[in-house]
Parts: sequence; C-alpha cells; structure tokens
Amino acid sequence: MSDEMDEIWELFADDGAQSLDAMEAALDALSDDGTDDQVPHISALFRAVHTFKGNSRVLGLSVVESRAHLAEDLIGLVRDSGVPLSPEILDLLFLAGDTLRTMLEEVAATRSDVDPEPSEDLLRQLQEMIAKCDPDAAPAEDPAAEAEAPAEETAAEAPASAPAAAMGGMDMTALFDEMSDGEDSSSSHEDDFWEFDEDLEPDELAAKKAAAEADMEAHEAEGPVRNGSSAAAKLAEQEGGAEAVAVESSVKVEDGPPLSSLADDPTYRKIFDEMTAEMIEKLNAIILSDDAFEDRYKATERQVDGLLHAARQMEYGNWVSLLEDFAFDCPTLENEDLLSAGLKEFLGKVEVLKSGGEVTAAAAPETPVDEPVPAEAAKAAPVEPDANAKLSDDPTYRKIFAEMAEDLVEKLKGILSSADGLEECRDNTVKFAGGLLHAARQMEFDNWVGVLEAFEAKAAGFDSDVALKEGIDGFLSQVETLQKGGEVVVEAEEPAPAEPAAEIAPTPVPGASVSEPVEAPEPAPEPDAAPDAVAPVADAAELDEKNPKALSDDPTYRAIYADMTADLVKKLKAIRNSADSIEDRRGNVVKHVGGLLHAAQQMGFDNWITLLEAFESNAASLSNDMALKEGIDGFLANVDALQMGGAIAQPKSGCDEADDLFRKLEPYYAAIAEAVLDLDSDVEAAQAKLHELAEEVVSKVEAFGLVRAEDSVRKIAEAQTVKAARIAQLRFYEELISFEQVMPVESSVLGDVLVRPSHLVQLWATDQIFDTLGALREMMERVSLEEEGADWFASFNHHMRLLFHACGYYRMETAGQLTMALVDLFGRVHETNSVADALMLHMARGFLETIELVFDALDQGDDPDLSRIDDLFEEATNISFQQGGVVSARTIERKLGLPEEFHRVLSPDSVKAAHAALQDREHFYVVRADLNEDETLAEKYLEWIGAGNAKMITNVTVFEDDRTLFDFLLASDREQDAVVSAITTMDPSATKLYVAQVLSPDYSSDEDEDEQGEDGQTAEREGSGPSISLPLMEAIGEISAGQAMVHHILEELSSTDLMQTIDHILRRHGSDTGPVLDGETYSTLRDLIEGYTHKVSRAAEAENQLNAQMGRLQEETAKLRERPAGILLRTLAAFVEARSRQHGKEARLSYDGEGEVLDQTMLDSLGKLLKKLIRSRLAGGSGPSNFHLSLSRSDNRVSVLLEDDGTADPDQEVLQTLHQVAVREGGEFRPVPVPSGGMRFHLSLPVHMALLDGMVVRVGDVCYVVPVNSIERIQLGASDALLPIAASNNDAMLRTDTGELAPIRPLTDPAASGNVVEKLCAANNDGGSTSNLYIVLRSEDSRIAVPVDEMLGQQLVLLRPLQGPLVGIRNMMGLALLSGGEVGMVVAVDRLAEVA
Amino acid sequence: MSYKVMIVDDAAMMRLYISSFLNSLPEFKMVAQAANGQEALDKLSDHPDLDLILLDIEMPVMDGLEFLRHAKLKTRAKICMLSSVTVQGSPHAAKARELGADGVVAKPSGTVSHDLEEKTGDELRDTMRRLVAA
Repeated sequence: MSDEMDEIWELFADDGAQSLDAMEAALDALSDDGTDDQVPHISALFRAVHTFKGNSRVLGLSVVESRAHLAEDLIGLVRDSGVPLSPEILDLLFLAGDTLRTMLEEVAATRSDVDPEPSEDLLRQLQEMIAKCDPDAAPAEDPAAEAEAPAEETAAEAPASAPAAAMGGMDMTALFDEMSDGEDSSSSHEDDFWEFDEDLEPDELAAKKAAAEADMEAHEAEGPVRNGSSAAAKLAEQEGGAEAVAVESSVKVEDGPPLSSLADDPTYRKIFDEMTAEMIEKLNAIILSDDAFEDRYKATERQVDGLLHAARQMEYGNWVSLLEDFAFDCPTLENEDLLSAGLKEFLGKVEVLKSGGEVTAAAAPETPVDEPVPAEAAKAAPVEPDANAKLSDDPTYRKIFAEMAEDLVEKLKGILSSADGLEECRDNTVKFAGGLLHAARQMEFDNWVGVLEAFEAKAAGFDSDVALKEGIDGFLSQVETLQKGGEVVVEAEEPAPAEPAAEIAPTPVPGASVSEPVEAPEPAPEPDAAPDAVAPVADAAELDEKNPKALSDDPTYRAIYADMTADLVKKLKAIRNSADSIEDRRGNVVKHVGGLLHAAQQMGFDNWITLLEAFESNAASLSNDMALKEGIDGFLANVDALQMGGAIAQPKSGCDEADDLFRKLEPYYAAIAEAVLDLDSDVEAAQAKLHELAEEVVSKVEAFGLVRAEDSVRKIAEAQTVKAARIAQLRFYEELISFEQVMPVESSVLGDVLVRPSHLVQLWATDQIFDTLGALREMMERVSLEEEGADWFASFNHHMRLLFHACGYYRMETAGQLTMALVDLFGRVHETNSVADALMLHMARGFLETIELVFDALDQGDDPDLSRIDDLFEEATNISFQQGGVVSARTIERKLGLPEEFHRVLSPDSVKAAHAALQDREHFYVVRADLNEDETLAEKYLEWIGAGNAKMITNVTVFEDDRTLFDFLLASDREQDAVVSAITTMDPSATKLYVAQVLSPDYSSDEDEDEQGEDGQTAEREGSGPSISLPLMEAIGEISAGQAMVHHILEELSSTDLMQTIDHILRRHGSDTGPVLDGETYSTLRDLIEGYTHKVSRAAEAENQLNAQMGRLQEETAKLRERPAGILLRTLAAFVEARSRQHGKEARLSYDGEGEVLDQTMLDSLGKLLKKLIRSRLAGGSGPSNFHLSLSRSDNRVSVLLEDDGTADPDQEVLQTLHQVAVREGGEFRPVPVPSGGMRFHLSLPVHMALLDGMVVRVGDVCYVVPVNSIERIQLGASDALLPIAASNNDAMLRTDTGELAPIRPLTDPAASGNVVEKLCAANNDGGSTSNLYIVLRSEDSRIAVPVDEMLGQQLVLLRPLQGPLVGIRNMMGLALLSGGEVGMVVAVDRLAEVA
Repeated sequence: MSYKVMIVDDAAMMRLYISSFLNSLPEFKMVAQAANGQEALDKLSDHPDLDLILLDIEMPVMDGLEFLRHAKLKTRAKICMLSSVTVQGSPHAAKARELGADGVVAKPSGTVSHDLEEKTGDELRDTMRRLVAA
C-alpha cells in the first residue's frame, strides 16, 4: 500500500503541476488581448482549477482545496454568469495560481496540508471578489472551515473527472476510489447526474436518471451526500435503472454543514435552464411524433418527472407547482388528442414561466382554476385538453412561425443573389413559400395565408429573371409589413376570394428557441369508422374544410412524406449495419416501418401501403443478421423503385425455381467452407469431403444446366490448398450469381428471407476485406508480378473480385467498376504474356491505398471520401492513351468536331492515326455505309481504302430500323470533290454508300492543350490528385539526389578557370624551355576555352534553376503524403466505440495531438499497432471503459502514450508481438501497469520519409546530416575554449563564443569518443594550435558541441528510417542520399544530447 | 484437332475478317456465326462442344453483355469479347470482366476493322490460345 500511496502523491504532484501550468497558460492567453475568443481559455481555466481542486480534496488537503474552490467559483461566475473578466479578477487569479503552486510544492514535500494562515489574504480577496461579482450569492465562508470531513463534496461541485481525463490529467478521484476499495472515496457522480446525454439509448438514460434520482433523494433526505458513491453509482448506471436505485439508495450520508440552495449556484442554474430547454424540445417532438400513444405518454411522464425532480432540488416553487400539476393531471390525457392538446397548453405555461412571468389561471382562461394561486409560486391551471385550442394561441408556435418567416425571407434573398437558372430559382421559390404557407394554414394566420397563396400562384408563372426578381421583391415587402403587424391586401389576381384584410397577423416574438418544425405535422390516428380514408390532423382537417383535396394532393404533405421516406431509408441502413442485438434491430425495423406505414395510410398511397404492410408483417422472419440484412436490402430496392415511380418488384417467371435451388444449396455453403479449411490439416480427408459435397451440389444444379457451376464446384474438390480451393469457391458462387442475375430472385423483397448468392459473397468478401487488401498490397509491392508465381493472375483476380463484392456490399458502384477495370488491365497483361508497366502498377497501388482508407472509414462507421475513386476510374479509362503517349481521345473528338456517335469509342490506335492525320492537315469525312447485304460494294470500298486513298480512323454501328449500318471516320489528303466523286462512283445511287459529313477540324496544333487537360480539369485533378506512393516518393528522392550531383559537378566545372590553369602550366613550361605557343595560337585557344567555360556556366545556371524546382517537387510530393494525425485519432475513437459495443460495453477514447502532421506510412503503421492493442484490451472481461491517447512528434520520432482504466491483465502475446514490430521498425513499445488499475502503453516509432533541411558535415570519411533547425552556431574552437572535466570520465566542454558551456559529443562511435576527447584535451594541454571546427546544437534545454572536420553545405534531404541491422546505430535517426551520390547518416540531436 | 469457334458480330464484314483470320490459325476453326446475341444463344444448343466464342458487344436484338450473362450458364466455351468499346480499362471492358468474360480484346479500328490482323492479330491470337488452353 505504501508504494501505491507513493505513487498517488507523485501523481498528485505531477498532475497538480500540469493543472497549474494549464491555469497559467489560460490566464496568459486571457491577459494577452481581448480580441480573441475568450471562451475556450475560460473553459480551460475552469477545468484546470477544477481538476486541481478535486485532486486536493481526494487527498484531504482542505486548505489547498478551499483556495482552489473559491478560485473555481470566481471563474465559474465569469464563465456562466456573464461577469466580465476584469483586470482585477485576472490579477487575483494569477495570485491564486502562484499561491496554489507554492502550496503544491509544499504538499509534495510534506505530504500533508498546508498552514492556512499565509493564504488567508488570498482567501479573503477571493471571497470579496465573488461577493462583488455575485451579490446574490450567500456570503462566502471558508470552505476549509466547513470541511470537517476533508473529502466532502459540496453542492457547488462542478464537472470533474471527464474533463480532467480529456485534458490528459490524471483523475485522482477515480484513482483514489480504486485505492480505497470504494470506501468513502470521493465522487464525481454528482456531475454526471446532470448530464442527460443525447447519445444515450433510452434504457441507458433511464438507468442514469434512476441513479441520479437516488442520489438526489439522498440529498433531499440527509443533506450533502458523503463521497464514496462514485464507483457504485457508475456500476449502477451500467447495470440498469432498478438496480441502480437500489444501490444508490444505500449511499451513506452523514451530517454536515447546512447546504446552501442549489439555486444560488450559477452552474446549477445554467444546467436547470438547459434541462428545461431539453424538456421543451422533447415534448414538442412528442407532439409531432407518430410513435404509439403509450410510448408518447410514457415519454411525456419521463420528461416532466425529470424536470420536476430537478426543480424540487433547486427549490423553484413556481416550477414545482407547474410541473406537479401537470404530472398530476397526466392520467387524464387518455388519448392522442388530449395528450397533444395538454402538452401544447403545458408548454405555453412553461414558456411564460421561462420568460420570467407567472403562470396563473389567466394563462388558461378556458379552464377555471379550482384553487387560489399562491403569490410566490403561481400554480399552473389544471391541464385540461382544449379541443378548441389554436396553435396560434401558443407562444412557442408563434415563435416558430416567426422563425420560419425569417428563414423564408433569407432563402428568397438567397435566390435573388443566386446564379442558378430561372427554372431552379422558380422551383425553389414555390417550394420555400409552400413551406410557410402550410405553416400559416396550421396557425390559421389568414392574412399570411392570403399573401403566401397569392405569391405561390404567381411564382409558378415567373417566366423571366426580371419577373422573378420583381415578384420576390414585392412579396418581401408584404412580408415585412406582416412581420410588423401590418395588413396586406392581396391583389385579386386570381378568382380566389381575397382574404379579409381585417385579420391581423401576430407580431412575431424574437429569440424563439424551440426548433421543432411545424411544417411537418404527422397525420393523426385514423378514425375507427373509416380506416382507409385519409384522416388528417385536426389542423389539417380545418384546412380541408377550405380545401377539400386529399393530403396526397398537397405538395407540402408530399414533401413531408418524401422526407419521412428518406429518413426511414437512413434509419434502416443504420439498423442494417448496427451491432445491436437482432431483437433490438428487428424491433426498430418494425417501429420505423410502422411510422411510414401510418403516413402512407394517411396519404392514401396504396403501393406504399402494400409494400410497408408486407414488410412489417414479415418482420418476424428477420431472425438472424443475414436475414435482416437480406430483408432490408430487398425492401430498400423496392423503396428505390417506388421513389422512381416504379411499382413494387414482383416475382418473375422462373424465380420460384431459382428460390428453390438457392434454398437447397444453402446448407452446402457452410459445409464447403468448413471442409476447405480442413485442407490445411488433412488434404486427403478434406478432398474426400469436398468431393462428396460437390457431387451433391452438382446433383442439384445440373437440372438447371448450370455447367460452369458444376465445373467450379468440382474444382473446389480438386484443390490441394486452401488458397486454390477458395479461388474455385468464389468462382462457384459467381456462377450462381450469374444464375441469380438472369433469374431475378425477388421474394425476399416482401420479407421472405432467402440466402442469395450475391449477398452471401458480399458478406464473405466484406468479412475478409482487410486480409484481401493486405494480400493485394503485398502483391503490388513486389518488383514484378511474376514473383507471385506463374499463376499470379489467378490470385490477383481472386482478390480483386472479392474486393469488388465488398464494394457491392456497401453499394460503391464506381469503386466496384474501377476494381474490374483493373482486373481488365492486368488480365490483358496476363492473357498476352506481357508485363505490367509502371503506370499500371502505380495506378493499382494508388487505388489500393485509397480503397483501404475507404474501408477503414466504413469499418469505423464513418462516411468515406470517395472522390478519389472517380478520378482513378477516369485514369484507368485513359491509361491506354497514356501508355501510348498520344493525346487523349477527347482532344481528338474536340479537334475534329466529331459527331456524338464517335464519342468515347476511339481506341489508342485510332487516336494515334487521327492525330497524325491532323498534323498532316488531312481532311476528315464520315461515310455512311450499308454493306451487310452487298459484299461486292463492301469489297470495292475496302479496296479503295486499302489503295491508300483514305485512312480508316474508326467506325461505329448505326442501327436504323432493323438494319445495321456503319459510319466510317476517314482521313484523306484528297479534297472533298475527289472523295465524294470516288464514293459516288462506287455507289451511284448513293443509298448504300455516301459521304454523310465533311468535318472541319481544328488544325491549330497545341500539344500543351492536351497536357493541360480538357476544361482544365486535369490540373485540378492533380491538385487533389493521387497520393504519392512510397516507391514514387523514393524515385523522386533519388532523382533529386542525382540532380544535386549534376549540380555539384557543373558548379565545379563552372567555377574552374580552365584557361588560367592551362596558362599557368604553359608559363611554367615556358620558363624552362621558352614560349610553346605563339601569341595568335594562344589567343585563339583562350577564346575557345572561354567560350566553353561560358557555356558550362550557363548550363550550371540552368541546372541551378532545375535543382530548385526539383527541391520544390520533392517538398510537394512529401506534402502530398502528409496527413493530420486527427484522421487516425478520430478513426481510433470510432474504433473503440464500435469494438466496445461488440463486447457489450461503452468505451470511449479521448485524445490530443490531432494537429501533428505525419506521413501516410506512419499513420498506417501506428493505426495497425494501436488497433491491435486496443482490440486486445477490449476483448478482456473487465476491459477499459476509457482510453486516452496522446500523440506527439519530434524531428525524428513519433511518440504515443495510450492510457486506459481496464483492470484486465494485458494479453502478453499481443504485447510481445507489438514489441517485436515496434523494434523491427526502429521504435519502442513499453507497457506500464498502473498500480491502481489500468495500463499505460508507450509506443514510439521513427518518422518515415520526412524531408529535412540538413547541414552536411564530414567527420573522417563519413558524411553526416545535421538538422539545420537544431544548429545554434558554428564556431572554430580555439584550444583554450576546451575545458576538460576530469571528474567526468575525461569528458570535455566547449566554451562557446557567447560564454556558455557545451559538452562535446563526437559523432563517431561512442566507444572511441573518449579517445577523441583525450586528443582534443591533449592538444589543448600541449598548447598546440589545433583549431577544430564545432557545430553547437540545441535540443530542448540541452546544448552540445559536435566536432567536425568539414562543413559540406546545406541540402534538402529525404530522410529514410534505419532498417534491419542499421536500427542499432546509436544517435542516428536515418539515412539520406546526398548530392555527391554518397549516403549520409542523419543525426538524432535529441538522442545525442541525452547521452551528454 | 482444332478448337471450335463461334463468331458473334452484327457486321458481316467483321465476321468475314475474323473468319479469315481464324483460317490463318490451324488450331482454330470457325463452326458457327451469329449476327446478334439472341441468334447466338439459339445456336448454342446446336454446338455443345464449342471451345471459344468471339463476341462483339454492340449488336441489335441482344447485345454482347446480355448474351454473356445467359451464355455463361449454358456453355463451357470460353468467351472472349472482341469489340471496339472494350478498350483496356474502359467501362465496357470492366463490365465484361465482372460478368465473367474469359478474355477481352479491343478491335483496333471500330466495329469493322480491316486492320484487325495487322494491329490486333497477335493480341487476339495470344488471348485465344491462352483461353482454350486454360
């Protein structure tokens, strides 16, 4: 235990310091300037002080806690009560921060509370300031004095552990809970009590609320709850409502100081306001909901009870009265109409109370109040449903209408400034006005109705931009009048009677907060007497009196129905992919489908009713995951059909047989899969089993003549390996899919569950998608596909087809098409025994990289980014043109002005031929030919072409009635007359062969045009373009290095005065033997060499520019590979939630470091390792419920700290694997158990493929690269600047030019470093004149001096991580290819400094 | 022994070209031809021992892709698409692969390629040989 206490105190010191640092940082930020948004800093400040206070309390440091508590209260006033952050408050908080830091230091040393006296002045100042800022607050007492029990929680406690954890701070409360086995530990549960999480499921919410209520009851009965219920409460929350109440009811309480009213606390007041707003929103939703009456009634009770409970705690008499009365009267709301009316009336009263008014009998004049209304707590009138109540009586609805009107004004203004076409603007105008019109009718605002109806009718006829503008302007002016409470007389442009001008629109109430739309009221329950008739809501019934049309005639209702349908589709898709239990999912399906069915009945949509009823009635058969997905898919297909105006798909002829076959085959799928797996252990037995199964399958499929299915299932039985069997297995399924496609199986649409082969394969493929992608990636990373073996295509094809089916599962059609396009590209390589070129390989790698991200996102429940897939598909389509090195087909189409029939049919050869003809300025003709029945004419024609009179670029088929004709695109150097004459000679009737069109090509050849791409789109695509693969990045790095080498040579050449050298040689020679060259020869030679030198100089200049461009290219390519770490962290957070749900848990991951930018490869590596780790942690029985991940990056390393609160022992095998992988990549992995429970995992990996601005230096024969940003200075170290430190193993220090001392760290082998230092010192002692060159490097707070022999210059290098045996090289972070072609070691300055 | 081939193409000229091309390859022999997918489908039962079908895509009555869907169920013959719209990597080529085409080759100059042998001969021959050998 003492060890554990040691750790607690250490943690307290560490985390306390962190909190106070955060406090100081926030205060600094707040005092910097007032222009920034202060809110985040104030929140950070509050969290920091709150965490500090909580941790102090846990350790019984009442004096420390009391000061922190008051500081927190003061910040709370600024945060929640609008108290301005004055310089006085800032100064006081700075003082508080300093005092708390002093206290922390003392506490850390003494492990006991501090003497209160030195900080009493601070205490008094804080109390005075709080009193000044919040005069209503009770006089502040010294909380320390109150706190007889140090760990006592006061009522004004604010959110604790969650924010602390989110900050990365240690939640001491939780820690202490763990340490003390739940006894008397402090609680942050009270904070949770108030948090009604929108994301919670109803049962979880109920549990949470039940726990909260128990807690509150304890408060009510006994005063403040003694801390210690946190763990129990959390447990109760997890275990369910009833048990939660039982557990919480046993919470121990003890006497304590009187609790001031919760209403005094601004935090609680704010929370109560939020709860009220939430209740209003939920009750409005209940009014509009189509859920069953029972559900709506219960939901109403829950909402009202929740707020009533809180109101009692807050001692809000008015609220308590209103809520109690409503709760009391709830049972009288015994049908839907009464419930809705009661709710509307209640909400009206709530609004009055919220606005500061009192609810009196006058608020509901229709219903007399039976009892007097107390002055201080106005009671709500008993809620009696008022059948005559109008929506317009309700202030909430009036506010909503006002907002809708404002919204319409904004939208119409948007239309006025929009660049959309007239038709779209007109449609939108009608649509938007229709929305408000509908609402106005509901509200019975007749003047508005008149204006809107007139405008809607007029808008439909806007036939010009001018008419549209004038119409909208006029309407807006009318709206303005109405909004101001004025009247508008509608011009009688149509036979409809003018609205009575006497009806005055309501004055809108600004600042409405209720967001429930009124334009989408749900239809009311059907009247019993006429179940099939359209039964509009009460409001709509009144509407119908004026307009006796069916609901389905009303475009607004149709729009609402369409929205409901879209909503249902969305919900079903979510259910389809949900990890909830099958019962829950089935229940949700029925519930949501029932909602739309109800609406369809109201609308009288018979087709929809048929579909929905059938699906609902068959829902019971959705008894497993596959059946449910199958059923939903079928249903959604029919919804699609109905939405597009089609009818429900009906079983087609032959489908019964197909159904029958698939049902018969169903048992064999699993049996075959199982037997295939046995090939790994016992080939002979597995083959025998597979053979038996295959023959049984054959006996079933042969009746259908499915010969290929027979062959493929037999192939499975012949396979010797699992891999070969799976290839045959997929082929077998695909043969069945072919059958399914020509014999459509539709019965599942109506809920009849059937295992369709297509769906089966999709599930199979999706299940193993990451293995599939891994196999493909490995294949693509090999230098040649042939390395995969002679049958590489079979394997490639197999995996790509699995990928295709997985795309089908997620309905990603383009991705599926692209997959098959790549199969085609590689298939042709295989079929013609050729080799895949670099372009294809690059494209395939890019695709795999993209699609992996897509599936990763899908796996985590995110929306994937599919935009890249479209671009890649376009690239795949054009690859043959790129390979041919010619312009694109679209360029030729444009230049020739080709008719549409020739679009997208030009092959690379055709493009090449047309391009050549364009360059030769030939003429282009389209010749129509009907040659199928006239071989003689065909021969003549082809002979004419064959004789060189024209080149056939391409031809297309033209179907004319029942004839097949051809249009030939010809190029010829002959003039039009000559060609027409020749063709006419062949067919004088000009019926079977004639020149249909003479084209007018654009000969203005501009090669760049094609490179820039049509419509300038290529450049744009490249901007967002393909991510750069690792090999390409390396290639660019190598080109860059080669370029730098050329640069180096040219620079040397250009800086050499060759003539001077020759002259020197000649002179030296001449001095002995006399002149060798006469003056003229000498002069000629000089001119020649100078001319040559001049050219070299120019080449060097040009190359210099090229070098700069290469540098930029390298930087850009590196940037293209960079991604913010947030991508990974968000994915991991979703991963934690999804995984934990699968294990029936609710785990969360918080994180920081999302702004760090990392290479794609690094993100991939981290993602894999962390997912593996998290997966293993969640798999345990008592896995964590909270993770926190911190990610940071230095020059050469990415570090991750993953903390969790799981109590299960980590899986040693997984840890071992992760350790091996991390070490193999040159990194580290270290698990550290936390004594109080939970684990910390430290993972660090060296950065991959980063660009580094480096200084190249030489030491001995070795070149090193030092990051330029770590170089503080470069200096020549005179001998007297060296200071040997004899006491430290002969180390030496360098006194820098600025007087600081820096330990000397040689770059050479550390084992030899002692010798180097000795030599340096010896030189010093000898008084020698050694003048060594040093670079002084800085890493964080350390400074070191590194002796070097030579500085070779600054260079941008591509850092590659050390791999294999090189990983062991100390103090180096990677390798880089240098400009001279040699390899340089990149220095890890931080590690070198650490050694120092 | 020669491999038995059916040519399915709506252009009589094209059928003629392919036929003469096949004649230059002793291991292949054209045993049937059809002007559209439906006609080809009808002829399948007359030629249960076909080894290879060379199939155009754009044809009246029933196009090549539709034929492919149906023919795959009925014949063991390898099916090789030979069309002007099956340029490598194109949507039609991708669709053909999805539907299970055994091979795909593009005609060099449109629906009627007088330069078939000259420009596509090698590719078509290699593909045909590999398909029938598989």
